[in-house]
Amino acid sequence: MNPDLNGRALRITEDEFQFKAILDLPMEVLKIIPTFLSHSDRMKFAQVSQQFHTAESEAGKRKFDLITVAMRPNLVILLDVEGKRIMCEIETDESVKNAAQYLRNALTDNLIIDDHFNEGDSGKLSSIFKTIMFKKLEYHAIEADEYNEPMINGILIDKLLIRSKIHFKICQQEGKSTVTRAFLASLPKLQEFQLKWMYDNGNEQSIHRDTVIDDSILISMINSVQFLMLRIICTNVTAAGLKQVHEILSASETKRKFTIDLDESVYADFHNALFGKFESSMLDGFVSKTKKLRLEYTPHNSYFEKERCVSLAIQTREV
Amino acid sequence: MVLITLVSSDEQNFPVERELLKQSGTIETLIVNMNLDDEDTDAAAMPIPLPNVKGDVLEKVIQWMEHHKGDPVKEGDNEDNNAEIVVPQWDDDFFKPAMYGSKHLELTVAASYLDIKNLLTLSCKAISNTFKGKTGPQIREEWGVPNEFTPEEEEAIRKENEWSE
Repeated sequence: MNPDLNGRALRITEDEFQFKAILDLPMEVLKIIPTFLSHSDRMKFAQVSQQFHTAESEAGKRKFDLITVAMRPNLVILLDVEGKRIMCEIETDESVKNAAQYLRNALTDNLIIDDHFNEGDSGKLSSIFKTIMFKKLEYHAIEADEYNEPMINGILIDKLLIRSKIHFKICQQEGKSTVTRAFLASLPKLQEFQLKWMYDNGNEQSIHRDTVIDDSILISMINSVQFLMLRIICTNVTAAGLKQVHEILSASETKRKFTIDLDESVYADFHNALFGKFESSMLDGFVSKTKKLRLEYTPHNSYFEKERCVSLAIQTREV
Repeated sequence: MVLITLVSSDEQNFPVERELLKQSGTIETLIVNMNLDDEDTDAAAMPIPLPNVKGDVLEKVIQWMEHHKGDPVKEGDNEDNNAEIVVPQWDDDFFKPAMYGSKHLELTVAASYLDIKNLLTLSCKAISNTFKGKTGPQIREEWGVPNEFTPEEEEAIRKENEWSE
């Protein structure tokens, strides 16, 4: 008999490690198996035996093409997979618990949160999506209130999102900018973050003025996001902030892309500080032997055609 | 080359290259706890007992680790899309001869016990591949699983999986 490190007998009886049939597999091993199956194959797996049924329901890691959250008029979650749709109505605490269990460690290509929610519903959604992984999260906050960004934070927390994208369409309301600033300043590491503006009536408008993003928020975002696209005129960003962004991107080891809309005068200050006078709308140069940095600017009129703006794009690529 | 001896439940000794054993979380922990990496320790004189793994299964595990020497070792639960994992041809050929028998199941449980994440993943993936496109009765027949459901229970499970909108 083999002793363990403390000298105790460790060996179990011969019968205890005889795995003659698949039903002899320990549950922790059996429940790994359905995580490799498509949704329809998982459903058939669950019909084989009681143990398979338990393994399937406890395994988590279900896969979906699209998960949509909306108010119709109460909170619902729509799960799209293999051309079919499941609708879950979220009302009671029991339904929150069941949905959280069903979506435990689930993976979806797209997660769309397409409405605004009160404090109670925001809390339910944070709890349900706590462990879900997504390739892309689209958040459309038409009538955003103070609970929504903390809810998204609750969904993002403790996740590895380095290969995920987040597209944010927000409507900034009076008195809410502190919440939005806190959210933007604490973005996790992401592959892509895109921010667009929407008017109160929900119409998307990419050219509008924003005072939430200043130099410090911008630097924080550029340090977290590989591809950062700000489709609003960021009036509080300065030439000094842009210069810092340029330095960070120039020093970056990976492929990066950054776009922002600015007042023309801010861009002119940045450009002059870095390269001298305007001569070309595109600057293309090596920052190392293997990496090229391209800077493009496109002048245009703002939405109200009252002022001149510039869309600036800086990207690095391997050569 | 440092060799460490593993002892199976049926008292068979397997001298194994130290480097290979980094793939097993369980053995790695034992090596650290037993100070086998210390220069002053005579590793050859301190075999590691593995009372939950039989000799023929441990032999297969070592064969698998030898083939996968140098592969990156997974840490923690992966967040990959499991549906996208593909069993490489060598592993498929390695698993296939014993797929529906006790040997593959014992290898899978050994991978779990020894905490060899890549082997456990590929082994379970290979099992799951046998279920693709099959109905419940077909899976029962292929794997020799008795139907323990009453018709009422079968109907209840079928209804659980009905789609709504």
